[in-house]
Amino acid sequence: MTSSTGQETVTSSLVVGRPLAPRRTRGELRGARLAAARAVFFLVMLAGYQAAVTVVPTFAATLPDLGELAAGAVDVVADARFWLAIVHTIVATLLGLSISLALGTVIGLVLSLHRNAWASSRFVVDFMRTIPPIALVPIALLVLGVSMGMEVTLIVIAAVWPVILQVYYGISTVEPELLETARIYRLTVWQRLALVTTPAMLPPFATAVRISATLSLLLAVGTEVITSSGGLGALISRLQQVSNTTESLIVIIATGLVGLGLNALLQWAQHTTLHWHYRTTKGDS
Amino acid sequence: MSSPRPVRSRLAAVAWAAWLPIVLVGVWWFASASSTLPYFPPLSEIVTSFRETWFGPGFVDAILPSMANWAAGVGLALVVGVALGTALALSRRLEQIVDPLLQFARALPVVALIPLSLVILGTGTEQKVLLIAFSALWPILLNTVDAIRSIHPEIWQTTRVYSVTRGNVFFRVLLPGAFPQISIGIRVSLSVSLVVMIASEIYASTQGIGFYVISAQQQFDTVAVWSGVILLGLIGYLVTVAYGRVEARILRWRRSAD
Repeated sequence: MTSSTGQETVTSSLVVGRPLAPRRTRGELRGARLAAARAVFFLVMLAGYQAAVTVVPTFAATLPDLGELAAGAVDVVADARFWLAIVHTIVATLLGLSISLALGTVIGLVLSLHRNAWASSRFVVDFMRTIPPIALVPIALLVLGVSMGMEVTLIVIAAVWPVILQVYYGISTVEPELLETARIYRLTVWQRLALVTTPAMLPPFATAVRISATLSLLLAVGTEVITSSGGLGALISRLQQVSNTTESLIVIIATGLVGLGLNALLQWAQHTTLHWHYRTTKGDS
Repeated sequence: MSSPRPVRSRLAAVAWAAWLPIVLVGVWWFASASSTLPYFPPLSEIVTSFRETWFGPGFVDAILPSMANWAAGVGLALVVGVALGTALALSRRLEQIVDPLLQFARALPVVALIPLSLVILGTGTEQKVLLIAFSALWPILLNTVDAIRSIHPEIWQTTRVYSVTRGNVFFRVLLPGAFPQISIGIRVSLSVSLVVMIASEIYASTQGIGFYVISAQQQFDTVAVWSGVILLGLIGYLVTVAYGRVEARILRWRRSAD
């Protein structure tokens, strides 16, 4: 490694989320007792909410009580527009995420071909990824107008940078011994790519997928709220404009559930594709 | 850092790092110089507008209120996040019970709360600060839980053997030990909270940088839009760089300890 003054900062700033190695602690709840404790906590929260909307004047004037909320939920779930909005948001998010992953991988690979390629583009990548992507909405509105294309473009502009960085980082941290070994066994370029580079690249790539997925959903919903381009964000905004706080709250909760679903899906994908990695590296550095 | 590298190779490194940004800005400058495209005004005009607005009245009218809200929100999230995170880390059961709520809060894109927050809190400072704080809270909180929990049990036992006071355990043992990972959460919080700040100013506000940009967009004043967007980009960059400096300073003791 010849040029790596700020290498540590790049990696440490990007590894988000919890380590996957399980940690045992005394006094852990399990099985039915845990489920029961969580159920009680959930009921306490509901009771707290009901108390707040009954007692606190500000909340009483603006928020629905539990009965209204339940009725609202039934209305929302029966409405086809709600399901169309969910599909819109998920399609935009996944489309933006996939384009970011593909584009970011290609750019990351190209930049890692030669150290001067990375030296040249490093500032641009670092600068671009710090720009709050939502700031580009006004320009996107002018240039592209309100459309799915605008939404996806904004997502890609936000989510492509972590992928570039992580792909580059993954390749640059391949153990020199492994490359030596590959050379000794006279592996072809393709064999080296499949057997050495790709396995080394996958764990940081998984991190990139997580970061980019969160950014994609944030940008999708953010763009929708601001521009009313369709999807869950636009639905929330529209419901609030006609003062239908009850249904807007239901759609907000649904948006959170979509986020949870996305996280769960990615976690599952990560565990099934990377189980070998977590088995061999117990103490995640 | 202190090992002196030959001047020549350092110059080469600077040259390699700088040529692309310079070329890109140069291309933008000359390509847009005689531009008549409505959405891509000449960069020279944007620079003039940038100087006149942001080094002029815009600084007090827009930059200060935006950044004050942002700093207050992030500060609030930092205090609450580290305190709550420590509490949850010290009680495994409590953390297990509230875990579904934490996961939900983390998964929810906070921008979805902008319209609702306006109804409950109005369009004033309160709404901006609380929303920014809410968005910045979760990354800090979740990373604090993990960070405190991963402090080695022997360190705990040592503090007990020497009967270190609780305050000292928190400020001299837990916090320094956990900071590297809390810092990861802080970095995420800094960028997410900027997005939420801008989005809520664009959506409904009467002041701030986001409000300036969206008003300019509605009047098709593209030069002003670009100057605002460039300002927001620079703020994002400066915040990241400044925090990098702060982090390095706080973590200086670790490098000397290694």
